[in-house]
Amino acid sequence: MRRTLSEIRAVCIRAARGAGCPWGLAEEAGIAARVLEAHGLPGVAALSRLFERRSGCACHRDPETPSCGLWEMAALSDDLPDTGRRLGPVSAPLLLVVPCLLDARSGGGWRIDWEDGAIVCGPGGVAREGGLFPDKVASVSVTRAAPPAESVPPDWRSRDVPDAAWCHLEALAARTYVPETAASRISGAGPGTADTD
Amino acid sequence: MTVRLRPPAEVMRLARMGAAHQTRLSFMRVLLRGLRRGGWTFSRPLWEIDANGIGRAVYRAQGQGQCYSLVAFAHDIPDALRTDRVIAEAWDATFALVDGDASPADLDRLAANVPRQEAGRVSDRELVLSRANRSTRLWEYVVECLAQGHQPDPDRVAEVGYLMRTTAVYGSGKFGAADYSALAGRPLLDGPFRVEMLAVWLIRAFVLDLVEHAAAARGGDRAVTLDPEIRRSLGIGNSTGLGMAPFLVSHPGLLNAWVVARETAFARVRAVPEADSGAVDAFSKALARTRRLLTGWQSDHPLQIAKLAEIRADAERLEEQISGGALARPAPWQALWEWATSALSVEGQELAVSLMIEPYGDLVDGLADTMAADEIARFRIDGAMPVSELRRILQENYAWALGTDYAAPEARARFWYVSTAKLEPRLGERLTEDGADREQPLDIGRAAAALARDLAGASEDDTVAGFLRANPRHRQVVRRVQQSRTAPYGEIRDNLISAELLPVDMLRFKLAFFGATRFDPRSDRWVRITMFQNAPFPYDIHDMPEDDWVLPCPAPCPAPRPATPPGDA
Repeated sequence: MRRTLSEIRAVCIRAARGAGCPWGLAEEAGIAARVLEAHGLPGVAALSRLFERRSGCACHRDPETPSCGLWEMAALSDDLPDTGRRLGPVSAPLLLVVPCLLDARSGGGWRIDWEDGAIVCGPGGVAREGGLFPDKVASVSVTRAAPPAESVPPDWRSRDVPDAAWCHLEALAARTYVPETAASRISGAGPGTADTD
Repeated sequence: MTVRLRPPAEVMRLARMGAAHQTRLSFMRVLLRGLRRGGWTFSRPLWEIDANGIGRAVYRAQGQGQCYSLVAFAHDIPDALRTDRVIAEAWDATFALVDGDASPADLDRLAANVPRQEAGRVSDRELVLSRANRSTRLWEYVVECLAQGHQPDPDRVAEVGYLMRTTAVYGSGKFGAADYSALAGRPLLDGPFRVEMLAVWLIRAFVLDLVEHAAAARGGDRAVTLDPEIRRSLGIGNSTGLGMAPFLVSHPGLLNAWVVARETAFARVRAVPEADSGAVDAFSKALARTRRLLTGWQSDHPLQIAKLAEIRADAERLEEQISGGALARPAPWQALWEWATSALSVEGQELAVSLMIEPYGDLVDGLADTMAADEIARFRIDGAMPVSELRRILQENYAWALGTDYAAPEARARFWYVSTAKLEPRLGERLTEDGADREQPLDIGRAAAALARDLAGASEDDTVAGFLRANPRHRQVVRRVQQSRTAPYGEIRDNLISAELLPVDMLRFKLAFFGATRFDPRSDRWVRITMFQNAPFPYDIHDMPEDDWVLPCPAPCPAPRPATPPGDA
């Protein structure tokens, strides 16, 4: 089904929270999915696959497994390098594009490389090299670069997202909802019985 | 003379936010000024409503190279199903605002979805999804009066002020509708809530046409249309619960932009060295009209009754002050404000803010174009900031939060949550209800205090990035603290989980920025309001004085309703 960027952001925030992220990181997951999808990149699928591999907190850091792309995205965002940085192994490397995209809005460009592909970001949008978005990679390189000569600009319109990924994220989001009770139905929102006139 | 903006520590307290009034910068007024100045035209290309009041209609707005179509569906629902709650599943009327013309195929697609509201799905050709319910106090009475060939009692009409209430006005990408980015760069409509206000204004036109249609169907040749004065006095109601409140917390950049615009307007006015006769006349007229409005502003909620008593007395005091020559002195508005802060209640003070801005359209109206915000542009955390600087900002901008003992039951008595029932936002009692483990992050004060505790143990040499690697739970509040440097009015400076919280203060603040009047709280978390009361209609917006509708004339001055050719509204 087609989903709007607003819906994507809202569901991904809640899904990340449902997966165990602190609220601040969950907000970043929502922005990440929105920004990636606006640029034609599969942010919804990337988050869904990331959360599939974690039964609890998506930020869990286990030295035996690739570090979480969401956690690495936040760390990279907080500390974008002056020249370049190499990371890995890391899961959902596509998420590392997000801080570069946000930074590129104010000028300049970034190049994010992994084994089978690369994404170049500039103020006008993104250019892709290679077509795969791996679940994890051994190494990612993030470097400042010239903006792409030709790029795909962001597009606000609704877009198709994979049903299975969406359902998975909605199921995670549902973990943040509180079941209805007769008492909360009356008192929780406030109007009591005076809800018409 | 330079006048400083009122500080956030004064303006962003809930007791003051809950006393907010509409101003020249309120979104309804900005929209109608823009429609008029932009030479917009309006028509009603479709009216297919049967004798039972069931069917569909289309209202079209065109101007500045744009076209929008309100598609309205009229229903007939049993009284037992009529509720204003989000959890409702049937409504008297449902609406979508289409970006462009609505084709027959669009109408069929929307007919299958819009009446179902949240359970349906619209497309990104739609900008707004909405619904409304009849006023059980007024609808049937007005239909019957008109059908019998006479006008409804104006006092009874005034007591309610509307024939239908919208119970949700969804925009910005909800339920499949276009994302807010769709409006970027469009003249007039690229601004906060302008497209939603356009939809509501057209809904008002539809509702008044519908009530006359219903009367004609019932009364036949005997039926009459509404007296123009009564017709204009009817706005569109709105019933609002907690759904609006989290928006103010999750959009700090937008909240800041709204308040900075209003406060800048107010500071500009206070800096005026002397009030010329035009400004004095405009202020006096606005005050006199406000006193009339206050007379008709009714509520049966104890909180609002007390506020109304205060504000009526304050308006009288303000008038005495003006009669005594308060505006004849140098820097009159600053002097009047200084008097108001000591002589008037908070309600009266905020009314004075609205009234003082009123005469100075040339000075302030342009600020309406500064009320949007790019929330994503401010989103990244500045990891290079030293922890010492973060601590300094926290102490400076969050002092209101740091002295509270959040272990005390009354300081953390409530929790905000999202219910499984239609994802309705609700407020729970932490000590007696389940669900606090799924709390929504509106506990900003408590989070700021927790951040302060952990920052106390952080190394002076550390950066925010380093601190957050070890303390990821603080990411949300660190972002907000950093944003407060450039958006100091972006935070409600009160404890939103306190036992003493009155959520209705948050609702009123937001609705005042929309331009609502006649706030009528039904509880501490539910409020009814009226929108576009006394406003022009699509058929006479270019014939009425500009932006002269919010405060009704002492002597009613309705424009005669023209004979509308078929197909035109």
